[in-house]
Amino acid sequence: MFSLLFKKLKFLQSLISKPEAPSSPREDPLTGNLVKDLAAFRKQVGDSPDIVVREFNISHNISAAVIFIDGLVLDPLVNQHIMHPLTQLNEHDVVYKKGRDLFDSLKNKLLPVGSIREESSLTKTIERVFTGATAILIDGSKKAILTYIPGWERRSISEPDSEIVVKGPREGFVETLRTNTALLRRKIGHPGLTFETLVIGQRTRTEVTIAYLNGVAHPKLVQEVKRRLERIKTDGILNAGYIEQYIEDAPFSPFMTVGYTERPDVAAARILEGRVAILTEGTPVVNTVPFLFVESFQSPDDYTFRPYFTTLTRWFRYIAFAGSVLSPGMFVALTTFHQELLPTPLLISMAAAMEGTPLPAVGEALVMGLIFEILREAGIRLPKAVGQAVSIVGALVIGEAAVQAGFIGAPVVIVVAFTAISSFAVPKQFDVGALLRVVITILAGLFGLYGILIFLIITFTHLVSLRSFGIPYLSPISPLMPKDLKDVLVRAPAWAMVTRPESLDISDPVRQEFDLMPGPENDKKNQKN
Amino acid sequence: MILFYGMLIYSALREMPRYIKRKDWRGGGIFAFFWLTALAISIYMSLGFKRPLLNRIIYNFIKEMFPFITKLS
Amino acid sequence: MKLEKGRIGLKGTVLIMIGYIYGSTAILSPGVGVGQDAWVAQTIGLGLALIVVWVNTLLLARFPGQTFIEINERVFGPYAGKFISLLFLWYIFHLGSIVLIDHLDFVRLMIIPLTPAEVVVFLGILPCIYAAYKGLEVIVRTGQVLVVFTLLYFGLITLFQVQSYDFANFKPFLVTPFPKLAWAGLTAASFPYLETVVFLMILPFLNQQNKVRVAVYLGLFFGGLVVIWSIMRLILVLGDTAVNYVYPSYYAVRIINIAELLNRFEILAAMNYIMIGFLKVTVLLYAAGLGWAQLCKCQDYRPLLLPLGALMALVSLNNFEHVVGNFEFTTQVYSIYALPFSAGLPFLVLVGAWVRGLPGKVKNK
Repeated sequence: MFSLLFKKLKFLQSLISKPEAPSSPREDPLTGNLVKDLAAFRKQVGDSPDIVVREFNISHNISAAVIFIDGLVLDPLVNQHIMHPLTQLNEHDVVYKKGRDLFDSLKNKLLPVGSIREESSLTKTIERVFTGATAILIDGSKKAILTYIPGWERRSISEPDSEIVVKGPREGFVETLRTNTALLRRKIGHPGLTFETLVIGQRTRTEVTIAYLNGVAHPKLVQEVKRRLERIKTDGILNAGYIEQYIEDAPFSPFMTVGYTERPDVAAARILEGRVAILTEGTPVVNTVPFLFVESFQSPDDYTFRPYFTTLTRWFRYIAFAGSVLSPGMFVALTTFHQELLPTPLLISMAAAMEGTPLPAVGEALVMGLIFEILREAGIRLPKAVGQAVSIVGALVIGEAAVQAGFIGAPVVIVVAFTAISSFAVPKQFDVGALLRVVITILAGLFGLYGILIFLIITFTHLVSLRSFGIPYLSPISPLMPKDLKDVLVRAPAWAMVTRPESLDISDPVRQEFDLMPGPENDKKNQKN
Repeated sequence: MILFYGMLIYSALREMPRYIKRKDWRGGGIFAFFWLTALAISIYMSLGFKRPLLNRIIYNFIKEMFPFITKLS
Repeated sequence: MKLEKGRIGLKGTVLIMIGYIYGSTAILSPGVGVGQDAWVAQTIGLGLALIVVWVNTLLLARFPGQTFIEINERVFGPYAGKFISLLFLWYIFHLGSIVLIDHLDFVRLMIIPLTPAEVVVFLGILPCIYAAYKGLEVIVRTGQVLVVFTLLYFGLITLFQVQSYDFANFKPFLVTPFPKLAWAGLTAASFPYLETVVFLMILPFLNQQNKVRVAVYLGLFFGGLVVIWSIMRLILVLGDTAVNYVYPSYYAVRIINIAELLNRFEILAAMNYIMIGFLKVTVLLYAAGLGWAQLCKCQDYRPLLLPLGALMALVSLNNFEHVVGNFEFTTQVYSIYALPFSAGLPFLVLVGAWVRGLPGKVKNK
């Protein structure tokens, strides 16, 4: 169905003449004449109020100009480190001539700024200025000096709301790319951690950085990620979610094949496992690829608590996911088609509770599911205070009153409540859960357990056929990788996870030494002798 | 039966343009053969004639050819 | 021209062979006609099959990486080869339709009695078409998980039924007259075991071609063990009464009731039958689709799957008037109908290849 639609799109595309690619920046060199250059500059950028062009003289007779965007640079620092040394300059301090010598001595001796570079093209200069550089143009020099003193408003690092942990670091990524890379650097000190930057989006010029651990990540994977990022030709990337949609393997699948996280520790763990992280400027969300299905059931807390307990919690999550997808469907199937499978007392009490309700079980389940989804959606988008009102209305009016009035059977409310709670236990697959749930409920109403089972088989086949950047989505379960089950069926203690996930096909499979099981010193010695 | 018609129509809509585009007449031919056979059987079934039952025919035939079977099983 | 690019592993292949063999025997429980000696008949059948399947392994070893259709064409030339291929394709197609209706009759009778057969069959063929469309690798990777589940379920049921085992049910040991037993053995050989002839279309894609023989024998042997044990279990639990039920193994599961808590395992059993049936039909549908595509030298086998699957479903609806007829067919005449295809054709081709001295040394460089 979707593929038909897609084909139609392609057809449309062939109809309209190829959209004019935004003209590649004409190489248009700086002339060296300040007046001319500034005029050309103004002609290209117009007259926005946030563009600051400050003209001044170095000593007496050499005119110069500083150009920056107000708000993108740190004003006091520009004044202190650029304006101050340049305007205070006089003949005695430096042997200056017009042109090259002055330029060099300025660049090498006078500007106390760390990040500095030269640029000879006007267009490039404009581009840099608009992404946060400060340009210094000097009369008689055919090059501009670009300094970076970025200073826009940024959010401070705080704990992400979406992935809360009990026992672990409280920091999360922010919207600023540089801060995010710094967060990763602080987690992984090894120089193998490599960042590579691409600029994506003709209009937004968004910086996208990929991060991987050299020597651990498979070079082919890195190549593939770069290839997919480079083929994005669009006008705007505002969010990591945009990137996800351009690089995923199965665009028509309801399952996501690109992972995301807001936590530097999670991202660092993924990178250590040989994955590639994709950081997008302007988003506190970092994508990691390849993404496997089992990752949705992992939480950073799993690795900090004791292994027995976390194994248990992990199984609770599996059960919760199954419950959130299946329980309304199973309820409908059992009450409509297969009453004989229910124990008799339960059947009787359920029949009593559902007596006299106007809708069949399918209808009830669907309506309650719909109401729950609406409540949830309303609760998310509203201010917190109103959100509480919504939940009270939902719980009291719709739950309690509907049952009392006899519109809806009480068992349905219980089932839908259980579904709702369990769907929040696996937040990463929340969207898929909601989708599958509806389909399964409808099929259960039509064909009973048989419909559910057929649909599950199709879904499972689909999951098996998915790949994320060449890695089977369902590994290590299918294809079976027994070594990797240490982090799927159970959560092995940290010292026992000797190898990195085999399913990721990475260059350096061994994570740590084998003999790391802790114990009293004497015992160890005795064992060795 | 309407489900089967739907399935057949879907497959035709999906595959015919591809075959024409690729000019794969041999593949298109075999596809059309299966498609028409399936369509014929569906129409025949939905018209409600008495159906000849395939395995019943084979069953009766073999039973007559090899009468010892009845004794053995 | 390669129609299938996927490569499959040894473990997965053996697992789906086990699932494939266990497939319809889970539902039909062949050989209950000879009462407590059914498991002997099954063992004889397995023994026969292990001998006959030698032909298949020889054939695959002679032509590594080539499917049965391609082998036929090389051995007998375009016309006679195509004719033999057609016979083979008819067999796996028809077998697919029989397996489909075996499982879906069960669904129709036991799970959703009020739904029309057409709908049941339609829904049943959908996942098979989808999986076959996704290619061999997906079939094997899906199938192996389903088979592992099946084996787990199998172990669980075996454990929970211990309390109802009655070893006296074996008691009059080997009282069935020999011709009857031999006939039952032959039926058993042709019914689950030699149906593996379809793997002549699948084993060429094994990633270790020198392990083909290992795969065939491991799969057949363990599949046979599972089937024999399931029959023995049935006799242990139900005894002589097994023959009275349409679906004895389902009934045997149904009577499990441990402490009023562990009961109603029939839902697991039903799920399991459907899953394993799905696997079997998918393998057959895939083989049929691939075979037709290779026969006609199509560029792609996948477009054929939808009409072929629809055809399979429609034919399965027109096999028999009711489920009892189906049983009679399977237990009485199926072996005579199937053996020429499942044992005769590979043997014929092997002899042909041997006589013509194929493959020549040139190809084997």
